[in-house]
Amino acid sequence: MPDDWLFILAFWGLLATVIAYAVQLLVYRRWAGWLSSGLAVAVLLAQGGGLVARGLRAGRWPLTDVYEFTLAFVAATVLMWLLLERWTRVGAGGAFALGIAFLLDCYPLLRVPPARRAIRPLVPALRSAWLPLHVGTAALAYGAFAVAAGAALLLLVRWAVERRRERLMLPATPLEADPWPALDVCDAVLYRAVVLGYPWMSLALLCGAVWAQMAWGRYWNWDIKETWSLIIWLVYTLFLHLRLMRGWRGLRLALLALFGFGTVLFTLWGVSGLARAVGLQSLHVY
Amino acid sequence: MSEGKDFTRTNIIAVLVTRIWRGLSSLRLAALLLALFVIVVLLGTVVPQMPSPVAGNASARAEWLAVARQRFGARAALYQWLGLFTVYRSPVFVLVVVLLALNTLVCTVNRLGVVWRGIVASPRVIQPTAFYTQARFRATIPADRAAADRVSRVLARRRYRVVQVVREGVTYFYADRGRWSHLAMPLVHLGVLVVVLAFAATRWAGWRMPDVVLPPGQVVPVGQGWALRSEDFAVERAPDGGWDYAATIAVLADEVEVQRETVRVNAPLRYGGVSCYLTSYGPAVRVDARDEQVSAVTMRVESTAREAQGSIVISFAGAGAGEKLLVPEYDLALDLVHHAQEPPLFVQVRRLDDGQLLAQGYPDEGEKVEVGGVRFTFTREYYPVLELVHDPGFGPAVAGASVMVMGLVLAFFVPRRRLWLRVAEDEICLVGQARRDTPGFEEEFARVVEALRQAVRDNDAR
Repeated sequence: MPDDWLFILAFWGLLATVIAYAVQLLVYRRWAGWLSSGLAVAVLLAQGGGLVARGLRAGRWPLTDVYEFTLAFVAATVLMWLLLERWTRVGAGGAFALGIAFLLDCYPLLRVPPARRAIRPLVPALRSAWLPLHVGTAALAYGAFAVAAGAALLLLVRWAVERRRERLMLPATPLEADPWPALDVCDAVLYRAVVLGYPWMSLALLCGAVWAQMAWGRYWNWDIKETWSLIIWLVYTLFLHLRLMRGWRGLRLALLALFGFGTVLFTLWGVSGLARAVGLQSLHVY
Repeated sequence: MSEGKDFTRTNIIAVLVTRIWRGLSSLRLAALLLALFVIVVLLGTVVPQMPSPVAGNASARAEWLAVARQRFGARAALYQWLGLFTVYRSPVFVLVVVLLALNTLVCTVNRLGVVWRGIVASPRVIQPTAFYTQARFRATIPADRAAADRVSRVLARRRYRVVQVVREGVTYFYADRGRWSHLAMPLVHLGVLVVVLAFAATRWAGWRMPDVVLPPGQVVPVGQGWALRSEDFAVERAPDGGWDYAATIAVLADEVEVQRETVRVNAPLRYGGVSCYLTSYGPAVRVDARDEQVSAVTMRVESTAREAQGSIVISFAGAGAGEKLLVPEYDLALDLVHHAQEPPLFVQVRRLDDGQLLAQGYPDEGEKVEVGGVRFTFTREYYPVLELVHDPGFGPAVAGASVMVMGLVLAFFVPRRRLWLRVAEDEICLVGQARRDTPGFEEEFARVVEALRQAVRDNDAR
């Protein structure tokens, strides 16, 4: 199927993009920046094209199961990275952000068996105009939070490098020759990544609530998936509030951003298992 | 003496109120409450939660707790005491939500003055010299006094609101952009408060009536002076090959039909502030009975004493459920049992007076069976099961969340930028300030400086 080929192309393209960003981080050359950004755009086109092709084949939005959602999540991560790169003009986090996207992409392409990739009919609850709004906004939010996790990793590595330099009393690299952005720049990139995702997450919760009201007559049901989505939102709300407090920038917030991304991954892949283990029923299991 | 005492008491109260107010407006408290809220909410996903209808029914509650005791052993009592089985109704949860709401409210009220001044107050255009030499974002551009005209145009082109003052031969400018972003945080906080109130409205003023079974053609009173009647129920194939369910429902007020609509999943029927949701469906059978002259025969459902002539629909609670249909005129009794297999209906026909078995079997869809002078036809049908919901909190919750999202967009993507310029004899001194997003402002400031330099150069070239 053309969509499958496009997803495979995007997968290998993503790996090449991560390598290009890593090279950019090491050699700090303009051509490396153009190459990596260009590759990221190509990956986005391939992944987005794959989603469009699958959507056309299925006759619906390709956002209805974990396989499709993870593919959309990867596309959203690449898109959010490109937006952030344009907004901050800092390309250094690309290796980390798109590295996360590559790892995410391993799940649908390497872990999901072909039988589970098949296009299946929808349950009636999923036949709604709210599907692309709710799931699409959630994918964009998750993508931005994946990019924030990449920025947090960049900040942590930068912090570790500086600590080591201080410990060994090595001279600082001149700013213009240092391919790694300064800690405050890493912090700003991290903040902007969260800022990119937070309104989408809020919108995803809002659209989900309206859809739930349409389908089940309950806009909030304390369903395990809903509750974990709220936990994601609360963690990033905490992030934004802590950033306003003295002494909370940099390392601590980077750790919180990684924790936040952990809640994102758990909501995506862990909640069903938790529901089974605890014996909770979920309306979000189809 | 008494006056002194009063004064002291008043003083203590004032100090106390001030401290509580300050405490409630603290950002540290907000962060602490948010972290606490995460923990409390998370607990509700790792411990099974007692469903609301169970919690409101003593015997169901006791049954549920007995199962929980079997599963958790001695820990169950501790969980129950801590309210972990009902986290989202527990006092701790309510306390955290109330404190968060208060914290949000107090923070918002505290900032209202600043917000108001930021939007409507006249800006301070003339700043002291130190302001231009100590600011973080500052620049100096060589230019003569004539550049003042160009400054205004450059700033306006970059969508800045410009205020100009000339004093003692020096032209001062104040320019700003995105001053409405002052409203962002109050909007976000207002949205959050409305959502919290909407949740409260849903809990205290909302109601739901689950499992409203609508046997085909029957009028089912639902209270509020109105009733529902299922006109049709169809199980259809959707274009993608899946199943779709559609129930045509009539609403009757004082026995008069006032509305008729097809209800589907995702498309409820709304009437009088109540929404009717299609939640499931059940099996039913239509029994037609004619005598040898093809005249309609009278039948009666034993359990409900419902009577019909010629045709009657009997609904079953599910697989294995049965009903008895009486045909007194012909001394017949039909035992109808619904099974999960195909064909789903099992029928036994007995004589009414002595119970003698006359016939039994699984009639096929539409098959005619003649027993005791009556010809029966059995046709498969379904009945819809609805849930009626009145939720006064839904609208406000959506409105609150929408306001919150608008506030977030305003906060994060409409940055407040302020510039002060002093055009003196031989230079333009420029200072910039941003409330948030300092790195973004750095770029903007550089662009403004470059635009001004260009404007000055163009002027000189002429």
